Amino acid sequence: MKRLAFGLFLVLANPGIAAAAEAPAAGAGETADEKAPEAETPAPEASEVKKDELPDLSDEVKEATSEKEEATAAATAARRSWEDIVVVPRKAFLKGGRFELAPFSAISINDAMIRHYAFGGDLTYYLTDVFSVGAEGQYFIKERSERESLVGYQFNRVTTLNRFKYSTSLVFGYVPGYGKFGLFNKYIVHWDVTVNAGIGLIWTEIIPVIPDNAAWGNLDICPHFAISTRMFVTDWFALSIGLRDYIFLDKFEPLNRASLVPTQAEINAKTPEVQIAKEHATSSLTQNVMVFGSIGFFLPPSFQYKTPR
Amino acid sequence: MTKKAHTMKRGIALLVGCLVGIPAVTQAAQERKSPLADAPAIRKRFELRDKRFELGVGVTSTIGQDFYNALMLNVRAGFHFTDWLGVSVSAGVLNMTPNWRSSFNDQLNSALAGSCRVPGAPTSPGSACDGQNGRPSVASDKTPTPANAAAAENRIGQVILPQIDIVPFTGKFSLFSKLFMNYDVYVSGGPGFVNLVKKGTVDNTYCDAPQDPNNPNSPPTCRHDYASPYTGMKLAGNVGFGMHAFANNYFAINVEVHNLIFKNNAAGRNVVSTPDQPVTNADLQWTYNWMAGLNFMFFLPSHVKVSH
Repeated sequence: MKRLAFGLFLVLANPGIAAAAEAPAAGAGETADEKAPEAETPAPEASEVKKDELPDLSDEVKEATSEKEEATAAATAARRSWEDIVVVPRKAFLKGGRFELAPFSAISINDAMIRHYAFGGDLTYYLTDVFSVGAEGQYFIKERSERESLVGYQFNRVTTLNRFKYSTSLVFGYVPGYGKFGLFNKYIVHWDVTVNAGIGLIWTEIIPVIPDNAAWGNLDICPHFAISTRMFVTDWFALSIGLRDYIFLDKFEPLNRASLVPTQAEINAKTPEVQIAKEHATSSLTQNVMVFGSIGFFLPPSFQYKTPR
Repeated sequence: MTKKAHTMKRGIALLVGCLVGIPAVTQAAQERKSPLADAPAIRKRFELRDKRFELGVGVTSTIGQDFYNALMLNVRAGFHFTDWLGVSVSAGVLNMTPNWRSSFNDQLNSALAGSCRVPGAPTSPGSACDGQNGRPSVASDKTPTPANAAAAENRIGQVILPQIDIVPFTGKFSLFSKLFMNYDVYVSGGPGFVNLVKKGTVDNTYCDAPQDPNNPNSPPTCRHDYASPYTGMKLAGNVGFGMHAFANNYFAINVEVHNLIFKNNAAGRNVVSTPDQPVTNADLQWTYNWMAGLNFMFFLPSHVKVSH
């Protein structure tokens, strides 16, 4: 019994001897002979077992070991499945408490006469994963359409056009939808849908029908609405595409500018012709619908989940 | 062997076995390979399109046309050979808004009302058509009448768009964290057939009449309007993309966008030829005509296969 106890002590002291587990009792017995003096004290009950009745545990240990190995393998296999698969995976991207800096470019799509290209950027702070507040600014470049160039040739008439120069807005956002898709059945890509509403200012300028006439600028209050979809590429990088609709009241060059006659008061005040024309400008509700694409950089570049997996 | 000795033997054997097992588990954990390592990204996926027909109705509308937009009743049918490849036909069969003018056309029509070729245009000295001080006269004015301008303009009457649909990816989305739908996005391409129609006829009765009714040889009243509407069934190229959002296994909401590319002369007027000559095919230009549609689709059979 002393030998058995001593052997047990050795096994407890060295858990890495799995290979020697086939005959732990025999080894423990041999070792116990060499270290018998250390094991004598803690086994008062062992003295009741006679020497010729010391059990041979090798077969039982073998059997127990094999049973345990099978149980371990089974437990390991089960642990593989539930450690790797969760019933409801967490969202792959968290935005709450992060800034997004998103340069974008856009093109107008709803005006048959003049097209505008816009270049700008959004700076957005996400209060939560769905609510955001931010600012937007953009610069416009105009391009007259081919239809506009044919109007004078085909109808002997010209149109009054305004060009957009730049705009800025305060923007509020909400994310109503979140989704994912499989790409080639190998990658899972996460995306969301954002709706925005904003209020800001837009600077416009008339394009005189007679090029020699002076142009004037307008500063208009401009609310806008937007919807976009964003695809998350990495923890800090996203791609977006969407629509923005800017609505504002703009002033256009009067059609009868060439025949305007200044009043006596205007003559006396030496009012510039452009000022007189501006006073006779026609107001019209303008809607500028633009398709935009942007790349978003999130800061900080990483995020941490606050809930267990 | 006493009972106590037997019990102790079993306990020690059990303890030894556990101690042997702990390193085995540790080593196994270190060498563990995820069973998902080589697995596809999506398992047990509903193959909502494979070997299924789709049939539905909806509406489709032109976007950004020069003169007339069209809101059409749309019928769509298709068959999917696999979950990612199919053929379909989308047909705008009835233009429900034949008089839907674009905002540009409204403004143009207002500007053309001042044409001196309109019968009864004011010609007294000081009026808009007296021919003095740079103002045009009835005989010299090039501005078409609003009626002739409208008669020369064409509009889309019907469209038939057979196409191949390729589904590069599918997925699932949630709306307000309440509504969950499977969806797919597809790109499409194929030929298109566009029926261009006109409204009215260009009328030169007034302008071709002699200025002096008693002298047939006197010059015509005003310039002859050579405008001619470009009409008929035209072949077009059709490219586009769309999306199905599945409310359940057999019903989906379909959104489509098409770009129809074909040669057109929407105004029916001279582009490269001079205004005092008839309009010819040389005045045709390549145009890009966008359309967006919303359809409600039913998929048959209603049973859906599930992948491994």
